[in-house]
Amino acid sequence: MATALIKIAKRHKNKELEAGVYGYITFKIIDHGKVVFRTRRQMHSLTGLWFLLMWAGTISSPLTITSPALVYSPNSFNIATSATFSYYAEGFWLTASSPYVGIVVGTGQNPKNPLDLILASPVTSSSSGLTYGPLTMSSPTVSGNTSTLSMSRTFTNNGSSSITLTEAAIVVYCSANASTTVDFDAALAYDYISPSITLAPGQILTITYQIQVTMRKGGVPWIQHHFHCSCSYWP
Amino acid sequence: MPKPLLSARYRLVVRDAQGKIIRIEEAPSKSFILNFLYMWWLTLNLNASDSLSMVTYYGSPYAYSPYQPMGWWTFVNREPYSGEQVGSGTSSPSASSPYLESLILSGTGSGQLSYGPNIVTSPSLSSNPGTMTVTKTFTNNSGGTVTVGEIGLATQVYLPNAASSTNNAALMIHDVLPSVANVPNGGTITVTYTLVVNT
Repeated sequence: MATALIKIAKRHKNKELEAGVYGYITFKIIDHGKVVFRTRRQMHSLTGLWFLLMWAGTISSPLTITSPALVYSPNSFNIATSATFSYYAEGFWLTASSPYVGIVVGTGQNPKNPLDLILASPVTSSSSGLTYGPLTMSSPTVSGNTSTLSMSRTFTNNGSSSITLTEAAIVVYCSANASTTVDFDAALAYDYISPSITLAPGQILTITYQIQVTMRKGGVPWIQHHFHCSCSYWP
Repeated sequence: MPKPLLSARYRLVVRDAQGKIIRIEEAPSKSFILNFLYMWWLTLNLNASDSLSMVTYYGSPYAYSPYQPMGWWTFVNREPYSGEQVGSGTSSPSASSPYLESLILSGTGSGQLSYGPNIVTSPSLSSNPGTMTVTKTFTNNSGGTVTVGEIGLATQVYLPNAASSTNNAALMIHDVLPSVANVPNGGTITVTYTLVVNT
């Protein structure tokens, strides 16, 4: 049987943006009713939490992660030193009113690792005077070939000192079946904020996350092998 | 050049009835779809009331409006259309279409392929980037050649207190192949999606 290599491995150098899910963070500071600062930056990182939740939902036994994975006990910034992802996990979600879930901020910096599931140094209202506003979300919107999911939260500096923020995260509440009570909070996304954002007393910071997908037409494969001369579907 | 938060790539291998490889292709996935954002929206927001488009156990479109937050996402093998799906369509996917253009049903009838189980790897998260792969093999016992023009990746989304919804799968990625893949009778096509998170 005649066999031939019709097309050899071919690496496609694509000058357009790599296909996938992109995210952006907008920081807006209001002082005495006026916008005094606004910047939009690329969001850098989903963590591995989503993969772990899907994996735990797929296998038929609980999945326990220890070092380096750390998570929070539910509705707190108290660190639990291991995470058990239950087969019967009932999901993960955001709670609009909790300062520990949703968009949260901190003053530390994590190394770049998919298992960065907590902030290095979260800012709590009691210690800093930073007041967390409610989390707001809007349903996905479509514009042309791009779809966007947005969420935002305000942070008011009610303290007497400036606060310099260097990290932000989207923390979700992960709930398990009652028979395997391992509820916890963990970061679905984590970003180091550089340059940092400084919030003076009385100022209000609004952080908006936008997650986007863009439809793209089919491209050239990286690799195509075809092993039959007789085939007609390769030119 | 900025990297995406989440990306995917696919690999497909077509074999003839003797098991001989007749085509290998690997490419970046082009299209996470709007449905993927709806899955996030309905998962994260306790008060969301939008419907989600899914494919039923029988391969039919189904729109479900959860009255509870969506539950876990899973590739468990309760029904054939979770994990990889294949279709015969060749049109570019639209931003809002939640389905393959023309889903190839699981079976041994004319134009059908037998959907195998999902093979899911444990996530690799010890270093950046993190990855997770899902693989499915489709076998052609239809008696004739089956043409695949599009592929996709779907997850089951278990919905608490809605037992009837547990056998449905929601599409999150839709790719049209650069050229159709012909799967000969007795042959197979194996599709692997690798999901990548860039930290």
